[in-house]
Amino acid sequence: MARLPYPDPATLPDANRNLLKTLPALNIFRMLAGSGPSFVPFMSLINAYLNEGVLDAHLRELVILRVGHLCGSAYELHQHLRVSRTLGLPENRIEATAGRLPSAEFTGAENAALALADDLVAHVKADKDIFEKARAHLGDSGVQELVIVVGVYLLVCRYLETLEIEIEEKDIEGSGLEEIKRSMSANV
Amino acid sequence: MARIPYFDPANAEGRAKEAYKKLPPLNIFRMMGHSGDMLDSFIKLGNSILVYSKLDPVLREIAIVRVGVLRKAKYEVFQHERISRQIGMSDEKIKAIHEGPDAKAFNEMERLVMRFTDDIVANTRASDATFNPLKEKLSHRELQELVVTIGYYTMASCFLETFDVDIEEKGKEGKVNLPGMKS
Repeated sequence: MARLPYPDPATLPDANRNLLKTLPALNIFRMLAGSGPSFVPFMSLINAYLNEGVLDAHLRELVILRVGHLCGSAYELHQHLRVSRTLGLPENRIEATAGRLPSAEFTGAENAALALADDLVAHVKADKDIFEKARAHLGDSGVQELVIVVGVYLLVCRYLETLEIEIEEKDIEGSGLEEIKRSMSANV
Repeated sequence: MARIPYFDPANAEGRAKEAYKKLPPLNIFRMMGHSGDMLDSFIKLGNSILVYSKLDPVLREIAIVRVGVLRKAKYEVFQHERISRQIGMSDEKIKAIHEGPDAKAFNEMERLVMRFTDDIVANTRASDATFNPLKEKLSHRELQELVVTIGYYTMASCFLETFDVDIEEKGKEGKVNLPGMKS
């Protein structure tokens, strides 16, 4: 059971209630709707890289899975395993995110991005060589997006684990990314 | 010195262009321009934390500076110590954030926030020992705000340190206006 009750939608500010109605039925969103005015911009930040980002979608999901493993967040992993599979990532590549790096399952860019993710999680300030290697593959915009994505999942895993958000009894259909995109264009 | 060149806000497009019109000329914002529209979302989340939270601003700044101290984010600590002073926190209390939860300058509530912040930064999940006392004292919304604040500045510290964002030269740091500022 979550450490706080999920808020009753009737008690939420209009902006939060309206956005929640159109989002995929996930417990993280139900809870986050009770966080006050952070809910809408938080969803806007997530939508920015999930639906409008510059990073390759497979590379992004591999990095998100890696952060989930490093932070030990079962909920984060559960959701992004579904997203990864829906986006066509094969099981052997998904499984390799839990293992040693670099891995032969990954491209040069993916290995460089995952090495940067590991270093960010472990040391906050990434090592210059690791950073430059990822930058050489991804460019200035890509490497910034990568650092922000890793940071967002440090936030997300802390939120999920500290509030003990439960995995849903019934999985949603598909990745949920399209619903998030439509929700954000309708509500912001 | 920053690891990649700062973005020139004059070249911004779309939502980022609108965002720059309202932002103080801080180096973190100049750096993040490479991210395009994501800058706008990042700023709006930061703004909701700093401007629209119900959480007491002193507790909020204690959590933010503590995250910066624990994660050795010099820029974050510099900016938020400035904000802490402007909302009226004493130098003694600001110094105590560097010392730890047991420092004398804190009241009991501030101590709980320090312990909770330390726990989440180190362990991802706050233990019952640091979570339960705060749950009794804060509303659910305020408690959520505190977790989001700690997470947001955990993210910001990665960005600031990895891009080596420089602290602004004296006189070029612009003016940050937040509710409750006295100077």
